[in-house]
Amino acid sequence: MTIGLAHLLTLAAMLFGIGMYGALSRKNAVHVMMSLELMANAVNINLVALSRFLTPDALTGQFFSVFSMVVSAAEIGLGLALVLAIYRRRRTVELDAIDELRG
Amino acid sequence: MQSPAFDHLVVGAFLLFGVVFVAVTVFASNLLSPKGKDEPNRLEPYECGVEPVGPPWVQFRVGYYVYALLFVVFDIETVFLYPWAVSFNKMGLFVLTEMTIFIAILAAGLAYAWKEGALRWR
Amino acid sequence: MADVWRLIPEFLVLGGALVALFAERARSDSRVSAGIAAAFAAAAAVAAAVIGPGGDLFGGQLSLDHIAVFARVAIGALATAWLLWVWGRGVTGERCAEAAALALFSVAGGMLMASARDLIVLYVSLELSTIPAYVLMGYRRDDARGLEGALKYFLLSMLTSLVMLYGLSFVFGISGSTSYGQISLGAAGPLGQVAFVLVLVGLFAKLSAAPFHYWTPDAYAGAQAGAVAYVSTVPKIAGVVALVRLVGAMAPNVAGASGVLVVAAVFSMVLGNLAAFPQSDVRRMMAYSGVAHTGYILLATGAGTAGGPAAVFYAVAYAVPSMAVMMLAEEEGPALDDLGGLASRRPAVAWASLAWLLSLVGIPPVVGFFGKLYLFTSAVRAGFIWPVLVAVAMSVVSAGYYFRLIRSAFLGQRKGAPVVERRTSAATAFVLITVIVLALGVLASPVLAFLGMRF
Repeated sequence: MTIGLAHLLTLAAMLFGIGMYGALSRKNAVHVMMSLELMANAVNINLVALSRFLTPDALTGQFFSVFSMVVSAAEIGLGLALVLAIYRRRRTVELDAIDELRG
Repeated sequence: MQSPAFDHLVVGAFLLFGVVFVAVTVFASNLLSPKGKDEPNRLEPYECGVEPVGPPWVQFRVGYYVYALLFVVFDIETVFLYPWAVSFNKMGLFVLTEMTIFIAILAAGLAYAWKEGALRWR
Repeated sequence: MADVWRLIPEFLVLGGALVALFAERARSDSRVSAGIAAAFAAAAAVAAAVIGPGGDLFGGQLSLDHIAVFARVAIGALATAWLLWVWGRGVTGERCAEAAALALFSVAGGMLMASARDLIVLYVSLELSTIPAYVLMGYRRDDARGLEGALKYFLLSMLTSLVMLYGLSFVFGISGSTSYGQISLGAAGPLGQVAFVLVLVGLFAKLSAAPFHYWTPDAYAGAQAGAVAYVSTVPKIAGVVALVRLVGAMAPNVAGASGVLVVAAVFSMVLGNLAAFPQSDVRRMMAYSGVAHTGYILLATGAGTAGGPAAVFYAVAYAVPSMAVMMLAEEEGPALDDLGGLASRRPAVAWASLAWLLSLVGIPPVVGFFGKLYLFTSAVRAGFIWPVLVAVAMSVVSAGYYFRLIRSAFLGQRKGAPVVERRTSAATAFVLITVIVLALGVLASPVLAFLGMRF
């Protein structure tokens, strides 16, 4: 059996789904961010696979994934900083406890 | 590497090695370790041979997180340096200028963190 | 490579951000940074106007067409107004230097996004324009509510932008290129439709269009109104330009593309306006009314390329007065009743606010009326008769809650003593915004002709 584009896209879709489920169901802000990272990496797999199989000569997709990695690293850094700031105030990162804003 | 049969052979050898390695280490440690209920170190948690100090659930100092954040951001930016270095010969002066600007912006960020005292250990 | 000089506005803004970060000499006089940043933003706006349209740059990655020029100037000018206001007022409880620098970083992203014609450039500039916004929303480190709002905004925004990125990866896969000129989703059938919808999810969330608007009221009500004044306006202009371009590149061959946009438009208009009505917090009211205004804009976007100029023009026509209303909410207090007695305390501001609110309702002769007129015209031309009727009805509804603000300002009584601190540069921001509201109303048709609207 050879690994083809369909396998990689399926893998990416499954990872993306797992990440999405985690992001929507988890209550801990750090867990949510880990799930978001999973989604980001699913997208990177998608990009690299599509680039490798559909446009093998151009590296566009691979560069796209490099940029997306950098952007998501910056975002996660910021998100953790926010969580840290909230933790210093409230001593919790559970999203259910963070409920001063409702409605 | 050449034929599927060879690939399977490699995987098989790898599996075999893995199983044997785990079996031997478990057997050897069982053979070498001190026995008996009165052995005082038996109930201690294992921390790479270092004596455990304090309770296991410690709160890491916030200072670590600030360093980690700075590290992650600067670490990931080096992703751009690899393709840049590879294509440097083809592109010449223009990419050199671009990379200088890029690194200058990063350095400004670091300088700002420094100025704000984020690098001071508290 | 010879095109680099056309990016002088972006370089000015970036340089200004770095200067602003290091400009303060002492923690007490950090307002200086905002003043310097305002100067750089103004210079960038002027430079963008002087440089003018310039065709495709960097092998088609950027396109400096007329819409891009207009958006760059508008973004620069609005950012100038906000920074002038911050210069005069300061940021309550925190220093200004970082706020000014963050705003300028976001402006750089917005300006790039306004001219992006490549998926990679679009994604990076979109994130550059929104990442500083998260920080601005949670700018006060001692305010847990603001931080919570910022965290929720951040998590939802990152989730939706990853969904969008997933869609972009399929757009790239289907087209084999990230350049807008080569995007063709038509041949892929259902996969093309899925990719289109995934991309729209991200853009809808950034523009707070229904059904991805629910983060907006919470996030705005948690943050300081002064920060919301920036976050809810400047990135929105760039977002609308990006939406117009992306839809123009993707939609033509996708079955049901304009249907999706129009349905989202109708939902946003109805939901936003009805939900804005009972609110007593100005920030919440403006959040819901922002949803409604995005709805109007989506209507023109659904009309295809012909609706583009009207959509971008309306984005500016919405953003300018809305920023001023938020600034006023910061100065006078976020509750509706806090505006009470404004006419006797600050008559000039009260009359200016009348102009802003009339513009938001869409009453002549201010800019909002012309914005809506051309928006609805291009939608009717595309055959969306019923949606436009809904939009007109909803505009009448919106007059109701905007007039509650006006009534409060002119007839209401304020409970408790107001804190009034007048500074010239803050007043300059109000003057600048009011002049834009009035001048764009007079110049609406030449500007729209410049943008490529066919009358």
